[in-house]
Order: sequence, then C-alpha cells, then structure tokens
Amino acid sequence: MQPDYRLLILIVMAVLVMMRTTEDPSNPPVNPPGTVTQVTFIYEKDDSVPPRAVQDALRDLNEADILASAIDKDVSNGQGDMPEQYKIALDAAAGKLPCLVVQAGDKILRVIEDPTAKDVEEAAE
Amino acid sequence: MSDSTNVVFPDSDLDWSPTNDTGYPDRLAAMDTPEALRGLGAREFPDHLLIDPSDWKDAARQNDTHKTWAEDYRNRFTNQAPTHECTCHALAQNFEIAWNRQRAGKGSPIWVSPLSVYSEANTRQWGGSSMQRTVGICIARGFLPEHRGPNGVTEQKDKFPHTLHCTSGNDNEAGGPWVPVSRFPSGWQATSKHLKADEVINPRSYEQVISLLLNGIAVSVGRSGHAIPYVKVVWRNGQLAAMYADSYNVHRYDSVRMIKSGVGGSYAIWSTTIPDDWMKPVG
Repeated sequence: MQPDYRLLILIVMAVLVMMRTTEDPSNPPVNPPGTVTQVTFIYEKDDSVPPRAVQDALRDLNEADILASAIDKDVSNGQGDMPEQYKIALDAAAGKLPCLVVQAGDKILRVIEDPTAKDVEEAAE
Repeated sequence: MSDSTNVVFPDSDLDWSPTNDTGYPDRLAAMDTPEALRGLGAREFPDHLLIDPSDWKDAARQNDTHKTWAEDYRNRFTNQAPTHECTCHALAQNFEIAWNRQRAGKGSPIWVSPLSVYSEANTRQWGGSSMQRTVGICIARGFLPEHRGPNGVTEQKDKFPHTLHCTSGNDNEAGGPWVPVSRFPSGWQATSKHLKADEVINPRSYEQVISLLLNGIAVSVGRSGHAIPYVKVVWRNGQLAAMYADSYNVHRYDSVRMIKSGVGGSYAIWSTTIPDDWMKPVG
C-alpha cells in the first residue's frame, strides 16, 4: 500500500507560509532582551582621550552592527542639548569617567570604569 | 600594514605650492593668528595631548596598528579646481574626520559642502578666505550637506531637506554654479545647525600640531598660499613630514619647515555637534 503524503505536504506548506510572514520587512525582528545594542566610551576631553586600542575595538563593534562611539561628557546636539541617543549612557556615566557604558536598548547592562580594549571587545558577549 | 616611519614618495610631492591662486593669499594669511582664533571661541591646546618627540615614532606605529590616524577617519577627496575655496575644503575634511572619530568609524558618514561655508566667507566668490573666518562660520552656524553621499550622486539630496553642491568648481557631479547665501534653499539654517564644529583647538607650536596628529586629530593649516588638512605624520629617509589630503584629489606632504610656517593659522576640530540619532544626522 502506498503511503499518503498529502497531509505531510500540507503541513510543510503551512510552515513555509508562516516563515514568510515573519520575514515581513516592514516589521523588522526585535532583538531578544539583553542583546547588546549600544556601547559608548565616555570621557572628559580635558583629562584624557580614548586609547588607540579602545578606538580600534569600538570600530570592530560597529562592524558587528552594535552602535559604538566615543564621546565627551559635554557633547551636544544642534540645539545645544544632550543628544537623545546618549542621555541614558551619559546619566549612567556620571562620576565614573572615563567609562564604557553597555546597553541593551534603554537598559544599562554594565558600566566599566577605566575600560581597556579587552573590555570593549567583550562588551558584546 | 603600512609603516608610517618609513614611507616613500617622490620629491615633487613634498612642499608643493600651487602656481595659481587657490584662495589663501598673503593679505588673508596675515589675519590668521592664534589670538584671532581665540576670539572665535577656540580653546587652548590641552596639555595632556602633548607627546614628547622621543615618543613620536612609537605613537605613529600605534596609529598604524590600530588605524587611528585622522586619515583613517577621512571619507573622501574633494576637488576645488579652479575655485578659491581651499580654506573651506580643508575645513570640510577636518569636520568630517572629527564627526567620524566620535562615531568610532565611518558607519554614519556625512559629506559636507565646502561651498556652503565659502559663500559666506567670501561673498564675491573669488579671492579666497582666511582660515579663521571659515572655521568661525563652522562654529557659528555649521555646514550644509552636499548633494552627493557615499552611495550616490543624489544620496544626501534625496535624504536631507537642505543640501548644496560640493563646490562651485567643475568637478563633474560635485560641481555647480556659484551660489550666494541669499540663494541657499529656504530654511537652510534648520539643517546646518546640526553640522557645527563644537570644540576647536588652537595650536601654538609645531610640537602641538604634531601631537594633535599623533592623537588622530586632523589639523588644518594655511601656508604658502594654500590651505590644506594634515591627516598623518610620516617619516621619509628619517625626516618627518605631514601628509595631507589635498583638495585636488591627491595626497601630498609638508616638511618640518613648511609645517612650522603654517602654525599661526592652524586649527583642529576636536568635536562636532552630535545628532539625536545617527540615522537622522540633521534631525
């Protein structure tokens, strides 16, 4: 007797349709909670500059699609205000400069004082 | 990996001076003094950036290893020919490098229009400008982006509300007609305010200029009738030289003698305004 594959084929097709639905480009996937999205080296320009190895490691994070940057604590936007994208990081960095602020969206995961390049490299883990 | 402490380039690339007027005549150079720059709001050189000459080569090698020269943060060449816009092309390079350095790479590049500053610095088009008049405009009201972007000749025009062509020169897609400020796109200040120099350093010695470069900070200088942005320190046959991205699509080099001659009109953009969202750099 020949096995009836029709039910199996219907199930596979239904799964494929569901997978296509979740790839809707107008509805991009959301990072799972806890995924590192932003790493910011914050310093006081009058005291220090980001070490070269730290700058190098930040660039690597950018290439891994994590928003990495190195900013002075007194940074401002075109209106003279604190840039929106750095408000949370700058608040977390107060009194700890230079430091590395690691974020998952709006959530602070950790603040590392006097960070090394290794700290930056490990920030995404 | 390149070794900055042992580079090779032809003699013709050292201490090049234009035979035509590029826009930095002696009468304007005379206006460029550290005192004048201080009056525009520039800050004094921070002592912690000073690097002892005995450590210069070590610092250069570290920049080679980590790709942290100003040159590594530079977006592109520009070509000013045949205009007198040299001071503004040197300014644009300095600004774009400072922008990218804060962003820790070229992930959110912006191409600014030198013409958008030059039109105010010299309202008569020809004759050039002083270094400090142009950086003063950049501090006060900022650049407009140019039409082009890294991904196409109308990339930024399509994306931003106000843009201008790069130059009034004839550099293919980058060039266009002379545009006085009165004919900038309506409401242009709403865009330019997002592209201002924030903190500008006022170097007062050759050693300070070299230290800035070794810290990965571009230094724009006016010397020998032409303004340029230094982006790297190199050694050729044991002799130090400063490499610059000339506004004629080429790298060239200045000797120590030439570097020293330009200190008076030099500046370094240390920081720029930073957007609320790097994906929307002009709001």
